Amino acid sequence: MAEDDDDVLMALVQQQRDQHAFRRLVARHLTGIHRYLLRLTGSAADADELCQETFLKLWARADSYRPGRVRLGTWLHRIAHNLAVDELRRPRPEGSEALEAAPDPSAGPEALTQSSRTRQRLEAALAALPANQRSALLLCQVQGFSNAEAARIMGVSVRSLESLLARARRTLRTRLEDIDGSRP
Amino acid sequence: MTDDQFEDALDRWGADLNRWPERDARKARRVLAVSRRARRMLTAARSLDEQLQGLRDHVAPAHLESRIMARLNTDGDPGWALPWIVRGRWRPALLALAIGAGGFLLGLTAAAPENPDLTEEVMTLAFSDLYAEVNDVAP
Repeated sequence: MAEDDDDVLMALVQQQRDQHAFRRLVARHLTGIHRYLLRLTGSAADADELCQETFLKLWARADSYRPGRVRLGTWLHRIAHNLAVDELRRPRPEGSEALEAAPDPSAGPEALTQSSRTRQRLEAALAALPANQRSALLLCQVQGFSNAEAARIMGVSVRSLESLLARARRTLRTRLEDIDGSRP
Repeated sequence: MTDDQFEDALDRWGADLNRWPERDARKARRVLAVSRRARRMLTAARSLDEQLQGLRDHVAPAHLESRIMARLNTDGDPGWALPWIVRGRWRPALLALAIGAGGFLLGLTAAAPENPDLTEEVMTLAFSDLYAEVNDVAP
């Protein structure tokens, strides 16, 4: 096992409360967790805050991590997912819809390239999906987890996850076709 | 596998046939060999999956790592408590003793006394006749 392996670093955190090892874990997983939280909540401020909470929970609950039973990345995503779901359930003040990460696809200036327009359309369609469908799609297609791992992160059966994925892909396809069809 | 079944499977497992269950992937390859519609669906699904994978291009804000480390030292470290209790051989006993002592003190202060002071009630009953006689009212 390599000395910078996730489980080796976690063992140092568990046994010695080693902040240096913890910092290396943060550096390694920060971008992935932040990307997931940003796409799931649609808010950069929420993603920043929840990302910090996720890693502080990792530190506080390091002793409950069991190497070999689950990969650290999966465990971290489960913490992040639960925090994000709690956040999304909280009532928000009117007019503060968390969609800042998904700009209006029709409002782009002429200078936008075709690829950035495509990306904006995708982000808008993704942001409009129900949170659990968005989460399933992000975990499998963007974060690169298998269906079984994604189901574990979301706390649902594999069959339920696949049903969420199917609905998400169908809706996304339809929305993207609608946007394409409505463009001049 | 029909074209519609192929489309349903595409929605569940995505365009990468290597991520499909092996048996279904074999059936899908047979459908793809004969159906133009299935091939079109696969191309569209690949395009969507590639667009989604394009979202991987992301970097977390630079300040986050140092902010997490700063909060680690300023927010306190609740993580010390569990290992402290669990690892030491005598600590579970000490913890049980502390909980027992707390419970005992709580019982002393909060529970109703078993033998409440009934003096006033007894005196009222015992001397109600005398009270009635002195004040000339029915007991």
